[in-house]
Amino acid sequence: MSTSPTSSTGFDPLAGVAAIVFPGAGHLARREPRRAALIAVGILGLFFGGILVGGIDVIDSREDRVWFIGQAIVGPLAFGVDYVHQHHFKVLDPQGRALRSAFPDEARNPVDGTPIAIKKDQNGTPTATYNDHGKPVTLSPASPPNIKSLSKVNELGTLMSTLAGMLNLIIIIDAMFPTLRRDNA
Amino acid sequence: MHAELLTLAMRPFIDPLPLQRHWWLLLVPVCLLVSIAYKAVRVTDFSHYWKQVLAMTAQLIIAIVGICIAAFILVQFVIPRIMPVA
Repeated sequence: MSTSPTSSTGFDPLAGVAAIVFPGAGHLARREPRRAALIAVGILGLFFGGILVGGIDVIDSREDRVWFIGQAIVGPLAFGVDYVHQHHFKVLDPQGRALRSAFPDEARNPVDGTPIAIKKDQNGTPTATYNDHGKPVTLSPASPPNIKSLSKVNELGTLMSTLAGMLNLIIIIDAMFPTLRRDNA
Repeated sequence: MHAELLTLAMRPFIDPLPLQRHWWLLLVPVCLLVSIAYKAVRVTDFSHYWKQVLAMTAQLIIAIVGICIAAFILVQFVIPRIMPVA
């Protein structure tokens, strides 16, 4: 079994930066499109697979900070998903003025992000009414912006998206320092 | 009221999948995706890539199931023998 390094040697900062920006882009910059495509399939499959399993709740820089540190290594994509989660799904608690996940009987006011109570109308349809600059608007059917995942589904979703980040660290290092790849794979 | 809201149509990527009973099936796609990404950076020649990916996936699944069985034996049989519950 040979352990000799590949012929490609040196330090490639451009590929390293590209790998940080998007999974697989570093190897694409090194003109290895097949490797780049397989990396993107693996990393993005794990990252979005985690979100599919556990919902957007698994990417949360406020409530799951330690896990988010691992997820953040996926790159700007992770920060983008976290931004969408924080600013378009969480509600602004009127008492503490802090962001939190909506309760199962709360919808999100699209104007100011505050929670609005969901009530059933005479037909049994869940509705929620909010004020849009003095004009009452009713959401029907109303639902919480997202449902928090619990137990194993949350654990596995979080684990999958964090694994994506940890694997991407190996890939960033491989793109930046291509000499580390060995022939005995 | 809460239960009715939770039975509304699931929104993929927003709400969690209803996999509370079959969560263990996720072991297969997790191991496969980890192998795809890891082998993509490890191999120098892609001629045997998928064979290596499947081999690594099988190794991961066997190792995790093995650890699971070992933990089960430890918790259910070994520890009660060492420290019997009064």
